[in-house]
Amino acid sequence: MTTIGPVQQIVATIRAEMGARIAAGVAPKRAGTSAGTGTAAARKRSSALVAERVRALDPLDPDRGRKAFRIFLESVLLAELGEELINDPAFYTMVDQVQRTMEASPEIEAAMATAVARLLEPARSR
Amino acid sequence: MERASPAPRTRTPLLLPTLEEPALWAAARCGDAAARSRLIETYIPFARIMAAKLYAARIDYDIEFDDYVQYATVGLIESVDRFDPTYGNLFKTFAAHRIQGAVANGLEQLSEKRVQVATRRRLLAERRDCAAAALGGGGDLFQQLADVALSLALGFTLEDAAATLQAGADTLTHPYGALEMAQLRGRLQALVAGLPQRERLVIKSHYLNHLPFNQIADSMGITKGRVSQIHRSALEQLRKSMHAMRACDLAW
Repeated sequence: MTTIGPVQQIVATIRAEMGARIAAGVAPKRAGTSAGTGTAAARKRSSALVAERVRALDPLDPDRGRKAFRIFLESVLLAELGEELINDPAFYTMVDQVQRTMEASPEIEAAMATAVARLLEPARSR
Repeated sequence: MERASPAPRTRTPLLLPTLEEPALWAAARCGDAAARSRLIETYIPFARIMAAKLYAARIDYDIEFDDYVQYATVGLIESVDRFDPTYGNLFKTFAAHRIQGAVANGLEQLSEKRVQVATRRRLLAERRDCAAAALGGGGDLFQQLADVALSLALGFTLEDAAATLQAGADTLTHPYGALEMAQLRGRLQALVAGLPQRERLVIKSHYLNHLPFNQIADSMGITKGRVSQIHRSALEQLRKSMHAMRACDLAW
């Protein structure tokens, strides 16, 4: 039997959020109310938080794309490695390293740019 | 036409008046900071000359003259602080040896650092290329990028775990350190021990011994591409083991 992993949950929620916003052109509803119990519900809430945090970014911020991807990275890594890491400053240092390393590769950076455009697209169309 | 008078010299003259220098040394030895500064300023041109001589005889052409001057100045300051004029030696004779030593020590540290930085950059590039294999294979872009990020994050955590192991450092004593990342490193270390032999060997060689993939390939008698595959497989197994471990923790 295959089970859905924490990252897949985040990815699925991000896609569902974006799809819903693009289709309906309305602000998303909060996730987590019917997501079940325990960590599954917590993960769904944190997934929805990604979209909320991205929307909260200043539309005029020139570094908005990078910040949006950083939010995605933090959520993915916390979901995979343990949400308790949120309390440790060393975790954020590691996220910095990961993001810088990804940006240093033209191939990965191109994929990141596409992902950032998708993350920011619904917010722009509002 | 009257000639313009030369601009006044603002730099300290190279040589002190013969009578002034002994007084300055005596004052400096008694802790007079102004006398010490005056002596250092006076002999800075001498340190530059020494730096230029050493720079002219260099064998490493990647290091700039300014680095030589910086280390020579450090040597000069140490010389001023340690010179004892009562022995009757000339300061320049005393300082020349110390400046040479300071430059040699500084260049050695600089070279070691450069080698370490270059090695780390090469290892990181290998890991990045390995992680980038998750891209372009079809499927969701966000999932692919998440896989790349997780692969790199596991790599950084393994590297930190290896560094902690080597240094024998107690991470809890770090003023800004918290417990969570240290615990994650500990869990990963334990999981590495449970990997199959080949995977364990690649992970330990790369993260603990800082060997690039081609050297690991040579030692194992396989290709670099195969090492890359084993590395990817090892990280994937570590991810799965971490899921299983966390599921157990939550169940308890």
